Amino acid sequence: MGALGFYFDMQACIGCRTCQIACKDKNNLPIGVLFREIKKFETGVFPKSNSYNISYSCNHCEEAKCVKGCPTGAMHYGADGTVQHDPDLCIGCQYCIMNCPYSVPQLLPERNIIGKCDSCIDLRNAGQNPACVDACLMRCLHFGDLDELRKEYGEELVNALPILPSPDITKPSLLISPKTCALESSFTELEV
Amino acid sequence: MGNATLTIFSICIQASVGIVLFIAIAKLLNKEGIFKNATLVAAGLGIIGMLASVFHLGQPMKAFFALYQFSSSLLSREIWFTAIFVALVVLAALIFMLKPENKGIITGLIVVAALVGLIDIGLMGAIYSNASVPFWQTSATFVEFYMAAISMGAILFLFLSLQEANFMKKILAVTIAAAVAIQIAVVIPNLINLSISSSMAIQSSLVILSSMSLAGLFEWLFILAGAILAVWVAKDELSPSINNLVLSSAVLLLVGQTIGRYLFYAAMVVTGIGIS
Repeated sequence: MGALGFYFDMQACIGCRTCQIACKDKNNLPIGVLFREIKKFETGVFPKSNSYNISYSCNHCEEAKCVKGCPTGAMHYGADGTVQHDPDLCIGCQYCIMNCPYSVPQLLPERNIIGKCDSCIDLRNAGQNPACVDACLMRCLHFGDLDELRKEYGEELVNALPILPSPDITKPSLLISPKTCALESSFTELEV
Repeated sequence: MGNATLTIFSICIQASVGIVLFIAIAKLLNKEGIFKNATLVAAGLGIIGMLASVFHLGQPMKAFFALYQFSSSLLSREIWFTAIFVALVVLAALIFMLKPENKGIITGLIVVAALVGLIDIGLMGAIYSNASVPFWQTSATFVEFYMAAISMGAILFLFLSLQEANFMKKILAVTIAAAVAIQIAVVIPNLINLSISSSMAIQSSLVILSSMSLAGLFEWLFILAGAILAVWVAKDELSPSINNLVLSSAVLLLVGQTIGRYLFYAAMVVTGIGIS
């Protein structure tokens, strides 16, 4: 069995942000805090420009810097290998925010502790999918065994893109079916 | 609030380590030396630093949880070493006040505290250079921390022990000048080197710093003026006016290093999606 993680089909994603809202709703997040987010990037120059979206959250990395750096053990690996966070142990030191190369952990200002995607472990334990997966209109998101996902969606999947930090840093449990333009090294983030 | 508490924490602990280091050296050179004021101030700075680090936390009441992960977390190790350092210095200060005749124990505590403190500063540097903040991922982080500790520690030790440390005045002045020279020689070229980096996170850090360039100018002006003043006073014999100059030098170095540290934290830009 391989590591558990998300598969994202960039080619199908239309950037509707339903996954973002479903996550926010599921986790009852305050304004300004997102555990899953959509970003839009542009490559090339008009009239030969292209754009793509990325939906990202915690990558449940195999060598997570947030877990290694956490002084209390609040960030830890769950029994299924995903990166989980224990709010009772969290002291709000924010070292995980400095450590995560993907800028995933967020400060929950009302509680003064950190929060992040737990891959909806409660739903998964009940045999369901994470909220973002079920909410996606285009069925671009899936969660599961990465080896199985690779078999199902093809060997051309990647976890390295020019917009992402090097996967060598934390070995993210992430598979992306990229658009060709997302492989271009020059890009601009679009504010939408 | 976050940058201010981290600045107070790191400056106070590093100044305290610096003072303790020079007390230890002075005690080894002059076994009769007492250095009571320096020991008490080092303990006070250590306590202020520890309190600042606790109030930086979102959950200060759970601060002791940070001791749980010594085996894996650099931050946990750094907290252990800071706590041990402060405990040793506070213990030495308490013995000074309650049983000052125990000179051997005080010297032992100070020497061990100096060694623990030096390791602690290394761990502080490692915490930041291992974070996903490209601006911090250089040897300049370590140099800045160690040289700040040495320059602040030396001038504070000289000011707080003027009579007893008079025999070390020239050594201390040269040490301060060398520490500041090394800091400038490493940090400034590092900034120039970073300015040609293709990393968006580094460029964002530099944009933040350029928006605070006046503070950066004052940082180096104060540090340089403090170091020059320290060298200037070292050539003269003790007098009330010289004491005031030593105090001025200490204030300049402390303020300069504090501004620099605030800028260090203010320039934090973590990598992320689209920011590598």
